[in-house]
Amino acid sequence: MTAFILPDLGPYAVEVLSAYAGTLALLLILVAGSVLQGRRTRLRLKEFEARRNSKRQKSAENL
Amino acid sequence: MSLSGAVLPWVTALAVAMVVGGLIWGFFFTPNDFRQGATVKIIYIHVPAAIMGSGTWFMMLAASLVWVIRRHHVSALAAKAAAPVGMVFTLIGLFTGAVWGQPMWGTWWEWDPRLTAFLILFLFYLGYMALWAAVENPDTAADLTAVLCLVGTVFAVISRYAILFWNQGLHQGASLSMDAEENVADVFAYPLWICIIGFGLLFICLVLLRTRTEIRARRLSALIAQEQMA
Repeated sequence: MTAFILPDLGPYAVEVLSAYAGTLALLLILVAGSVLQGRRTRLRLKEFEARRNSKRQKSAENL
Repeated sequence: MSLSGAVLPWVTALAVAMVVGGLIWGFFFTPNDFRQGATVKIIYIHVPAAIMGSGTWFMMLAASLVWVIRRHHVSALAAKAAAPVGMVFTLIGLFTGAVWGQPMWGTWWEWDPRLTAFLILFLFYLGYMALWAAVENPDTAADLTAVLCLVGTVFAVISRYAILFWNQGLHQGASLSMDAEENVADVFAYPLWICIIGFGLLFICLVLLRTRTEIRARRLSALIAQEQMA
């Protein structure tokens, strides 16, 4: 098995790794936030529409 | 909605493949620069993020103009959806630039025309998002933010072309251009192009996703208002 080899970053390892780590963290927050917000909104709309449809059905039956 | 729903998984898969592939290529399989050392590896995130940071604002400008001229609601929602994405790309550009600048220029920050314009652009993103959140009527919010977007475009242009306007400051010229003499070496340029395309696709994917969310949220609030009136 080939061992995982980190490239030689010399005296700039902290700068390079922190730039990558910071970027990945910001992108993850953005993507996760967008996905979660999208899911939440989709579910709320679905629930609202289902509730409204059942209300309409009930009032149609009462007529 | 059906077209964007069908396209979204493919764009997402392609974006992830290109961003991950480009970053792995750049980080693990390119040499250090003879002057910059390993800090050259920051180019694979800094340049694409900076391009998308100012590019997003131009997309928002186009969408805002469509709203102002045609009153097309989806375009206003697309501009609103793009703002947080552009803000994060701009923040990544500022952060990685500072991290690169410290060892290379000897300073985290310099009041250079390009850097300053980019910082102001970041503040415009924050202002744009705050304005959307502060105004309750969505049409009024779209009108006001469209005007703000038009004003902010000045800084989006300066952040990209400051080097050409004023021949001063620490920031170097374009890393990639149509003029082959100015370009970075091919060994750095190939993975950089992949990262730029990947970040562009990631932007498209996130804006599609967020615009769909905005459309659903608008529909939900319209339904709630309809129910309250009934």
